[in-house]
Amino acid sequence: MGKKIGNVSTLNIVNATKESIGEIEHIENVALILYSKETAPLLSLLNTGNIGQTLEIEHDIHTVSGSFTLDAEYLNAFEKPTTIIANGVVIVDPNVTVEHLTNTHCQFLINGAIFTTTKLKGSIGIILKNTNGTIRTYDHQLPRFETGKVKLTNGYLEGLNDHTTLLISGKLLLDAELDIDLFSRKIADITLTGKAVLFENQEKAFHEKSTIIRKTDIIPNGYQEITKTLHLNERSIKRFKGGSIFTTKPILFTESISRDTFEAAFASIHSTSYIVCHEDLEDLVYERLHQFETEVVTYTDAFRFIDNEEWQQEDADVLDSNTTLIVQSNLTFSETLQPEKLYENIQAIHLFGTIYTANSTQRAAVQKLLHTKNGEVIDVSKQKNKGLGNIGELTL
Amino acid sequence: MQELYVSLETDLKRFARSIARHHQEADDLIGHALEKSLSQKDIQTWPHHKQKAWFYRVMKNTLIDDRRKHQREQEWEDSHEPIFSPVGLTSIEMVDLLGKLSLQSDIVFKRYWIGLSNKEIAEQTGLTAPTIRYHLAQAIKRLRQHLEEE
Repeated sequence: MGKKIGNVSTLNIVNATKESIGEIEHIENVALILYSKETAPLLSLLNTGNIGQTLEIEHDIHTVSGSFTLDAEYLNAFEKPTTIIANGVVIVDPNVTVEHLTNTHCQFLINGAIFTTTKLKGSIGIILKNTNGTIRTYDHQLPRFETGKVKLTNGYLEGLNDHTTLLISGKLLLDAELDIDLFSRKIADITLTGKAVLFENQEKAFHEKSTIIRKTDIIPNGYQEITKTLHLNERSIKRFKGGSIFTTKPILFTESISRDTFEAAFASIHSTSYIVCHEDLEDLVYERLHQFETEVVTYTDAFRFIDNEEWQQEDADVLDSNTTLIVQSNLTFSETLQPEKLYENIQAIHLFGTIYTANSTQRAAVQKLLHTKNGEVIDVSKQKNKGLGNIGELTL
Repeated sequence: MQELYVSLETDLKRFARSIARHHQEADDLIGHALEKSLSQKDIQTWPHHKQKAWFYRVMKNTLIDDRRKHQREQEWEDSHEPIFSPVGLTSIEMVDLLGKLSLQSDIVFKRYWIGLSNKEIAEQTGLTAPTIRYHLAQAIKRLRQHLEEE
């Protein structure tokens, strides 16, 4: 009996043999299969579900990830045909000419974006075997590549040449005081793989210059951004002093907070996540919401906020009665945990993550207590044994 | 009941107008909540702030239901499903992301990495196309949350 494998992003059978293929009993789905002339007959031996794409590769394969600058020297360096799989951003250096592209032994498979000078745009296809992404151009100096968290401030912009192309992989924040004219002059183009956070008044100028792969958060003007889950009590809530806040994370208000303190703390709350409060504050929370879709979760007596916990019987025993559970990420129940205890002490479960139950009785108890279901309940005992899970790159 | 309404009128109007698109929609929300409150037998014995909270919650949920209903009435097409682009993700990131989805990971992989349509996935999994859309929407919401947290 061979191995069972879940989903595979890239399956490389360029150097596979009948024996190595035979070790695999089944693969669920494969996005891309790379094979050679010699191994093409082995394709029919693979027991797979869906196949997204197959590609014949003639010789060596290299893989590069992240940001990669392709210059004339690189293209000249290979003496025999080579396929390069690039995951991320490939920047073609201005020193690359059409002749380099015609004479190189390199062929590229690109999962992401390729940046080239405008004059080479038409010829770049010579070295592209396959592109799963975008071809973009730049006119002046090489694009500037940044990873991680980048904050665009006036100082940062002053340090750039005019008409800079920015490539960012990570999170981009625009400073509240950003000079929009300076931004328009310094930035030619922004390509962001990740998340952008900016203020309402910067939206127009920013979108004129940017391509975002993933997400943008717009902070209303005058709002303070909160980047972490807020757990506030009667004392800590006072620091907000009647301001307005913007957050994408949950806000938890403990029972100790009085109505007067709450009213004095916030003028407005803009939340794309959810808010947990005692039922005595519920009306005030609604009155402070900047967008009505924000979910408000209330509790009567006590609540527990779960962020990755594994519960034994003792954990359920010590719960206060009438506890409201808020599951943000993972909660795993051990086999020994008796469902009766859950019924006894838990008033409601608000699920935003995943609860893993050890058996179907626990699962039934959870289902009965669920008030909000924005996540999954998984009965581990029913999970099929699939062998290996998902695999990014598999070479046989 | 009239007494209850009079005591809440100002707050209800202010709240309804803050969430509705126009006065008429706000008045409808209040009307619907009042009608619903008739079946809430003990509401008059509740403290004032709890009555307010109950009305706010009902109006908010009614509005969300109305908007969802309106969306459903428009013809569903595949283009209405949430957009997720695996472009720019490395294989390692892909595995990491799918690992966070458990049951839905296969559907997401089939849709976004293999490129099958909802109908094709439905045929293979024995689920209906609307169920596939529901799972995709849930999964994409969670994937975006994970990407945000990175």
